[in-house]
Amino acid sequence: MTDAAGLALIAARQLVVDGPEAWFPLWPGDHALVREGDTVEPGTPLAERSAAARTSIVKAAAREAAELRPGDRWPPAAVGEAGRRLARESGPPGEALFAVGGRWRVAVAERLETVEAPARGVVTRVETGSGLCIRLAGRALLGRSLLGDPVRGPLEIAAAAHAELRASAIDVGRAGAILFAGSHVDGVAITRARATGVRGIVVASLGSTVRRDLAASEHRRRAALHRSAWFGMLILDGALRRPTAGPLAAILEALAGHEVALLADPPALIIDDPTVQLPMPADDHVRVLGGSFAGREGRWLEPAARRARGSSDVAAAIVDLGTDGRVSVPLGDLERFV
Amino acid sequence: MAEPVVTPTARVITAIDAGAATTSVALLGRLANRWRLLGSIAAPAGVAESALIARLIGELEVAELGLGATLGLDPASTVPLRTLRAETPAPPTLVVLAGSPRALEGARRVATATGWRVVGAQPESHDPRDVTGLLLRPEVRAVLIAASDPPGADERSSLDDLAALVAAVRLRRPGLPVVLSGAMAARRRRFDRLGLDDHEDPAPVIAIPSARGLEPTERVRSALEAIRAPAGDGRSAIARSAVALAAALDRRVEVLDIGLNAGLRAVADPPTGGEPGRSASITSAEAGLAPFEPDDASIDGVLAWATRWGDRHRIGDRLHDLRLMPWADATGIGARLRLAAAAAAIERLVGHSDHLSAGPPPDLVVLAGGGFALAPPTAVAVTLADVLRRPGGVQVAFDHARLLGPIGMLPDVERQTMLADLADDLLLPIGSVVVVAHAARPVRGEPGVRVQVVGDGVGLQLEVGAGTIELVELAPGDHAIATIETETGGRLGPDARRVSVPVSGGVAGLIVDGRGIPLRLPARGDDRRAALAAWHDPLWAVPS
Repeated sequence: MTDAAGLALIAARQLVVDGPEAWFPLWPGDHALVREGDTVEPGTPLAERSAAARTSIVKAAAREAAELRPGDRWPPAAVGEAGRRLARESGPPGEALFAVGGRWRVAVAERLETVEAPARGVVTRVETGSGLCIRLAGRALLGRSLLGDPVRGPLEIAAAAHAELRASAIDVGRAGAILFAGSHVDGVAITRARATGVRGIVVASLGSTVRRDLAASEHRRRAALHRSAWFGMLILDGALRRPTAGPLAAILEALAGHEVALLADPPALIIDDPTVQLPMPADDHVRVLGGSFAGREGRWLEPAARRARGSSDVAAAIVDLGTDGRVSVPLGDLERFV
Repeated sequence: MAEPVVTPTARVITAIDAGAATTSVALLGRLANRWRLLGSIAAPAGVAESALIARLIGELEVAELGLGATLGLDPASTVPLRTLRAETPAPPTLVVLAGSPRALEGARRVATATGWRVVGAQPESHDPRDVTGLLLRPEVRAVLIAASDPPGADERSSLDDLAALVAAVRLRRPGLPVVLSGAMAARRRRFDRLGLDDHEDPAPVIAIPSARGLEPTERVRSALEAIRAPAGDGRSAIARSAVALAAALDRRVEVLDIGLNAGLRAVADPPTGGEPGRSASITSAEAGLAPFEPDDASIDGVLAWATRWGDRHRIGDRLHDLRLMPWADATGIGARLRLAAAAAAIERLVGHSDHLSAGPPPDLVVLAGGGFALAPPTAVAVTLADVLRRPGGVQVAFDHARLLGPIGMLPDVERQTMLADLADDLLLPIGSVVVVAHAARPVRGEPGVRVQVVGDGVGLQLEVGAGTIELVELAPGDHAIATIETETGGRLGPDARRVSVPVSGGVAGLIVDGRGIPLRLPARGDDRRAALAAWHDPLWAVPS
């Protein structure tokens, strides 16, 4: 029988959220294509985002300058002769930033790319130059961070929960898919995945070197005139290599073959299909995060006597790790799932 | 008005320190008309405080039969206990703008010491679109626009643009507080004409001009601190407790609190001759245990104090995960990482607070924060000596139950009373550290200084060789006089040949450090690690 009060001393990790609010950041000069209250479907254009941008200086006539507010589109809408003159003299369109001495600074977007909705939902907020918020209709399997862009595709299990995805396991047959890469993936496999048209990767851990390489690659992609397809990488845990948590792996396995989306804020895998049954772990299921049993999972049994460490007495618990037996683990080294 | 927590009838109080990484709960009870620490427990942040309190009461029931009944503690009771609570939320983001790289550097230095996470921008590095976009980010909570007074030639041309840019952003984010400092204060009127009068609650625009040509550093600091935490937070409470502790102990006290997100350095003097005690403190978000984004500089900082790892990628991965799961892997190898990260954080903190290093050295250094909790006390004391190379002797203690923050939330008189009652309980004595400065560069193996320790249950003579550390057993509560004598130019304190300093015992005893000032370490990484390991590894050899 579970001692609920004792179990409450273990940090709880939320696995799934219903109806997450997704935030898509924009910068001045980017152009939202949706309004508050709009319903969006997967693939609906949300905004035009600039891959490059600059600030231009324009001289506005007194009447236009008086009416213009920061965040307004430039040039302001006008008809007749005024409209024709503005179109002739105002330079490229953009977003008004601020005015000094009668001259407006305007953020001009260049090389626009379209941000598409990765999942179904309703637009709840649009803030010019800052971002837009969508309440998604599905469920979100929460990760720790997303590198790259939001993407969508069918989920394929490409590696076991404790294994590492090798480059040799990726071929063009996986183009368009989002791959579950197990516990770890290296830079070579990521490069190959992008080259073969894979849309995204879900992995338990990713080293900081590979993160930096991926960020630099993404920066180059945005700067390039020829743009490649968007690619996203959802990291479920941290940087140190460890097996995928059993409850996360079980949910991903249940989603194999279903369309899913990867999201940056919150970092999550979005599950549109309401009919998919997501397996949830038992209340007393715990995972060891650190120490000599790091990565093992088992059942919480009861509080243990405190263990003297340094200047402190660390609270601990007895955990049944199956073949590893019953062990005492510091509370801080345990996580449970809710 | 909130009901006072400490009243004449209060028998038991819970003290909660809700940090970014862990939550600590302590039970305080009034026994024989004096407040005592009954017990404490810590768990990952987010764990229900009620569960921690229940566990603590349960442990007290098992350990000390009858104590609960004496104080009226009932594990089954649903009546909430009186609570002192201190919170240290994650530092919010402040954007600092200036007209030139030089002006930005100066403003950054001021802002960094106010507990904000600082992002700087100036016209040479940032386009107006980038700055506008930055100020519109939801996580940005305030902006400081700084200029020298009079403005330098390199910044003069951009001041109007900066004021106009921020004023335009205020129209889109009326809730964004703005601080204008130096010559920028004269542009305050730009913000008066925005038409925000009918806005429900526009955030303040604070203009701080220079006074008589002096930079308004202190007033800018106060304004930024007030915007960040109007009612104070756990760290400002610790700074208040430092003052009360200095008065209670009649000692000059320095508190170094290294948390996950930020570090605090507070120095407090006791009252003397009718003058009230004095104190000064800084909080820096750059002095946290784990950087927000591990970069080369932060990794190098930890690598400089690491005895184990030479692989910077490995350190980067560990720091990354320390931020994600700061409570995990805190024993074993994780404790060593935390102590190295804490050393790097103290180094940064002291670097940001030169003004606090003036004056006499403290009599007592109180350490606080998770970086020190799980390392052997001797390793903690030697790490402190590694980073703070001050000639002389100092006592070192640890706020093991994390009480300084919660007690700092009390009104002045109650805080003073409670700290006077609890000083012995809340400070775990680590011991004393005596650092011997050598006039010449010390050479390992050369005749060192003679140290005589005489006091409670101890009387011995030591020869402390150059480049070595001697550990002397001195139990908590024991006091002694350490007399250091040298004939070859070694000294303790300015130009002294024979000096006596009072020392007190602790779980680490007395540490006599003959490694010289400054601590000279090899430049090559491997050699540096080997040198540090030679001093530190034996201290970790016995599981604590």
